[in-house]
Amino acid sequence: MHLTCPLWVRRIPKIYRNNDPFYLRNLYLQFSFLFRGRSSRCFRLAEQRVIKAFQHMNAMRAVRKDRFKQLCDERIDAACAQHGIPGKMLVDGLGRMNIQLNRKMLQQLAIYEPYSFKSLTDLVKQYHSELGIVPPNAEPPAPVVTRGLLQSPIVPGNRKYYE
Amino acid sequence: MQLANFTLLRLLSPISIRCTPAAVINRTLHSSPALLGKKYAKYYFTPKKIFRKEEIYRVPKTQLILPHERLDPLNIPEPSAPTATESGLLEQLASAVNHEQSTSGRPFAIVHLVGKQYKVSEGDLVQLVGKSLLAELGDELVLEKVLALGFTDFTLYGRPILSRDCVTVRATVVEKTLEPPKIRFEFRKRQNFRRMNIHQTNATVLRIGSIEFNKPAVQQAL
Repeated sequence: MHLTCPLWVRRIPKIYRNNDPFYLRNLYLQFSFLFRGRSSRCFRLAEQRVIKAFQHMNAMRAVRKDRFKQLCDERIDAACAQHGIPGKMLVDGLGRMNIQLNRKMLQQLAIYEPYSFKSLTDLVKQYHSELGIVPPNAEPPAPVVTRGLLQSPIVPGNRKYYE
Repeated sequence: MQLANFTLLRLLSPISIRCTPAAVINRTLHSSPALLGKKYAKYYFTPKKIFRKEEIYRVPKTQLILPHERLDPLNIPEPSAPTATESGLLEQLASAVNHEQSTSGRPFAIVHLVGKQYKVSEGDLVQLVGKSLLAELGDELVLEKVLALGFTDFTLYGRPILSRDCVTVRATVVEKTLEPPKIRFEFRKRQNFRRMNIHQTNATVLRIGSIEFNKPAVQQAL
């Protein structure tokens, strides 16, 4: 803002600061710093744009979480498709085996630790083949040593899947 | 119409605090030895409450084990004996575990901490958003809920957690700060309704020190 020296130098007591026009306008102008054109400099235009920007910000809060979930699902789906499995099958199978890894962690493994991710897909394929479910376009898994423990309810939360 | 004070935004810049609030309070009370009670504290310098009420992480009831879901310790199944091919594979695994040396690669661990999971290795920084731990600066923590461990030749997955004997993941509390200010602005058109709310949540930063791997405990499990 371009103000003369006396205005910059003047001291306003704290009681009147809320009612001083400079402060009331600066409240919105400080958020319009990088806007385009006169909306960044003139209060009557900035007020409208800043309020709209705040409304966009509020609306995106719920949408951002959904979009992150969609991204995670896409990445897991793409990584599983390389092994011939749908993404939902992986997440469901790991839940039934009580390996409680997040979707966030599964996508990190898929990106940065491909061999670890392949071992997870092999576990899921073995689990489903023991139940008689074979995905059509999948290669057979690497040999999995289960010793009869893959299907058993090792912890309490899985009991509903086995009854 | 609620408006935020102009000076408020200046003061709410993130400040990294290198001493605990308890130390600051002690200093002020010792300066006025005659008056230690709460009654006269308002006339003397009181530090601003930088940390809001301590947020203790409570496990919600939906995640606790219900009585009808509790395990019978006698009915846990034992692993069956391995076949010839399977025993060959187990020997390969055991040799990989033996030959594992931390100098070759960078091991990672997936850790469950305060309701979230983090993929972690040595020297990482982890920020816990919205939480202020009871641990103070410089305290060393052992992160016990390890969901997975990864090395160059093999990975270990826990169902759901690996046992404490196998792993120790150490971390130190490096910083306890406030996040940058977040703005919540409600506006309803043609109703003269505007509310601005500025809030700052706590944040703690941990530095992961080392991931120690106990070989004999893992070989026993095999």
